[in-house]
Amino acid sequence: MLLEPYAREPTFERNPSSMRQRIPIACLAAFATVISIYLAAFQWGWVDSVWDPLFGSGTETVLSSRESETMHRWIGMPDAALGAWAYLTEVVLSLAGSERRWQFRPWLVVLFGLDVIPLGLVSTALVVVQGVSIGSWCFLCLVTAVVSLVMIPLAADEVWGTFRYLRAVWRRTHDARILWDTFIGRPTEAGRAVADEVAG
Amino acid sequence: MIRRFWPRLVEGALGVWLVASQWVLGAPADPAAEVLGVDAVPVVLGVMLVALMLVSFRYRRAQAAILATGALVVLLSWLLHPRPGPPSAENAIIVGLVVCLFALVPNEPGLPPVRWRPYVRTPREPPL
Repeated sequence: MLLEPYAREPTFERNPSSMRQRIPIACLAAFATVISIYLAAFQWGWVDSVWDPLFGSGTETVLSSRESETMHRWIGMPDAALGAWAYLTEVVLSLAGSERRWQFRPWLVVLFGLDVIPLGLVSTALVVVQGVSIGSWCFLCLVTAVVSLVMIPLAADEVWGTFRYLRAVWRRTHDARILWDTFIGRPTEAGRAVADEVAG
Repeated sequence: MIRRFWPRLVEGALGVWLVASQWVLGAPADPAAEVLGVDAVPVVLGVMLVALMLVSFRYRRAQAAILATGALVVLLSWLLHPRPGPPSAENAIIVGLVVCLFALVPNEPGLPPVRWRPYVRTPREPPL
């Protein structure tokens, strides 16, 4: 398909998929994974108590609350273990892919963005709602909630860069098939042209 | 081999653990699906994961089957046991979720996809 002449896309100020941007996210997520595994260990009965410098036995109250037990029954495992898995997905999805994955695997960046941004907000809201409804606070849960919030702006740059790339492909072709091929990582003429422009 | 297929190797290792965990964690056998005193379902699905890992070295599409098997591990462990279930059932749910996660990671994740390689300037990483 021949492309008509279009205004050149503005160049990225920096590589949105560089490891320099992604490694801090992976480290933060790994830290939260370790905390969540520690909390799950208490819920499984592997450790007798949980360290909490601010709220005393608040963490233990939250982790053994009726709400937590209900979650355990619904999902079939402790809620902290589900949290550990969620943070592990952020570690793996932040590290997977080359330093140009915004072009080669946009689907991976979008999946990563969905994992970090909406799920991060939801998990933070859950921690706060749990604290309010139970009337006790869990220090380490709040730490993981803060980690989730800190990761959002760090991940947003790459997600935004990928959307810019996809939007430019759409503007240039107005063809859903080409946009889909670009999204799933198939080489397209428009995708290559746009990527060369935005990469500078 | 390890650099190219590490996500598949992780899935295979999780399959081995899924089988072994039935004995390590002392699974209370379901009389409806009992083999050698353990639940047959996770054992069969664990063996399937290892087999699919071996197939995936040759056929990329086996990755989709690994994703489906991981989802099946989660679903069957969730449906076939009371909740909260025995340790082996909780273990199977977690293993299934982790398998699903790694099944999303393509082979050679640090390199451009095979279809893109004719268009990039170096076989490893194009300069930005």
